[in-house]
Amino acid sequence: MDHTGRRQPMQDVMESCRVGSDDLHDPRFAELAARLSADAELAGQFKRRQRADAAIKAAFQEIAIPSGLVDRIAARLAESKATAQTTFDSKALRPVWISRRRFLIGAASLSAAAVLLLATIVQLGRGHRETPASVLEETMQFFTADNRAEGELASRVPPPAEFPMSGDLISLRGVHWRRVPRFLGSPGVAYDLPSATGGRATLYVSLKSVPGLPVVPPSNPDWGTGGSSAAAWQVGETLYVLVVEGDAVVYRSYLDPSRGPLT
Amino acid sequence: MADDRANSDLSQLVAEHAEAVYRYAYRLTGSVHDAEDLTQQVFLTAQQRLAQLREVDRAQGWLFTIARNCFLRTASKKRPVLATSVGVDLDIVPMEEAGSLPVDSAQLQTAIDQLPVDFRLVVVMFYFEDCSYREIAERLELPLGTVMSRLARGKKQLRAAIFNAASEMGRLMSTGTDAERWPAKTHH
Repeated sequence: MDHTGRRQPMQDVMESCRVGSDDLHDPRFAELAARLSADAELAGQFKRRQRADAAIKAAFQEIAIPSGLVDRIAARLAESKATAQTTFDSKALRPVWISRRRFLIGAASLSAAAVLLLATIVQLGRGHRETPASVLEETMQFFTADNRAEGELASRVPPPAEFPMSGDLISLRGVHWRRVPRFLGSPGVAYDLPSATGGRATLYVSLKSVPGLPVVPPSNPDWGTGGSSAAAWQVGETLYVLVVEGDAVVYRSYLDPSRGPLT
Repeated sequence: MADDRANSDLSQLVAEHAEAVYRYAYRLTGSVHDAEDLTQQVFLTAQQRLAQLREVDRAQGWLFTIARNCFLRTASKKRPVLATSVGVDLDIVPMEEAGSLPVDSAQLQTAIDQLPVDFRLVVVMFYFEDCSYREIAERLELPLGTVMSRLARGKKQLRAAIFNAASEMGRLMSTGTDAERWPAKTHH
């Protein structure tokens, strides 16, 4: 709020008064109200402004609605819900607790399978369609193998504009960025985020469209195994995947709580 | 059970507010394609955050807030050209008759598109949402003076652009007299 006490130009005050409202009763408009009753010329100007405002305000609503809009929105919501359900179901099938021996065997098998899968994907030129689940799986593998070469300090060298830092994360000092030529088969940028807990945290950014992803980072990570948490979201054509070493609390500590709508 | 209720609430939100959200999105983005994309993003976000909506009466305002946030995330980095820099005299916008400024919806949109994003937001909130300057300041977390100043400059630029567009189409061949001009003087 404005506590400067600086006097607002009368023109600004007049422009802030809504047509057909009782704004003139606002204490900030008291001087305007007084001058309008004393100055006929000013009252005339004010009247013309209000009439012009009424015409512009009416035109603001004159927009044709594309046919089938509601149906398309409903279909998109249903598709998003179905994808989210699939992801949830596949996560539910994972065992909650497994022995160390089984974990090691499983991890080794998974690694081998992942390498094989990656090799196959590379061989096939990455022709398959990504899903939210596959994005998270591949990113986790990428994160595990990521050697985190020393990147550029973002405050000193601006990152590439086509791979911007997510506005949904808190602002941090000491963020480094580096190019990742083959993230999910495409060029991208990795932002290495500073960590209070000592664990690694990286935001991967790529230009890729993955149906079914949310448009904002979820409050809880979609992936939470092996001591790491991850979630993906999509803003326009830009894909973001945040991976942190730590649990959901660590993950959430990187989200900007001020972003997003609040009632 | 709760899932069914959420689905039903969301369907109701779409049915009741999709058109208003689309119109709002169109005024912000200026294109049919972008407006529909933004509208879909708004309802996808609403789907994920439905629990945040505590008062159904405020649903439309809540959806508009989501629309503004989504728009700001994807708003083009390209800065629109200010009318002042393309030779438009903002203070000389003649009026045929008081209040009869011809406002065509498409010309209005062209004029809105020329506004910088910061100005566009307050102008759209003022005219479309019928927000007072205090409400705009509260929702955008801006000082009152900043909102008043942006409103004044944004509205002036909007009128200038509408007038220019209308002039080009020959709709304002007969300009008004000096007495009918927009006031050029600033009253303190």
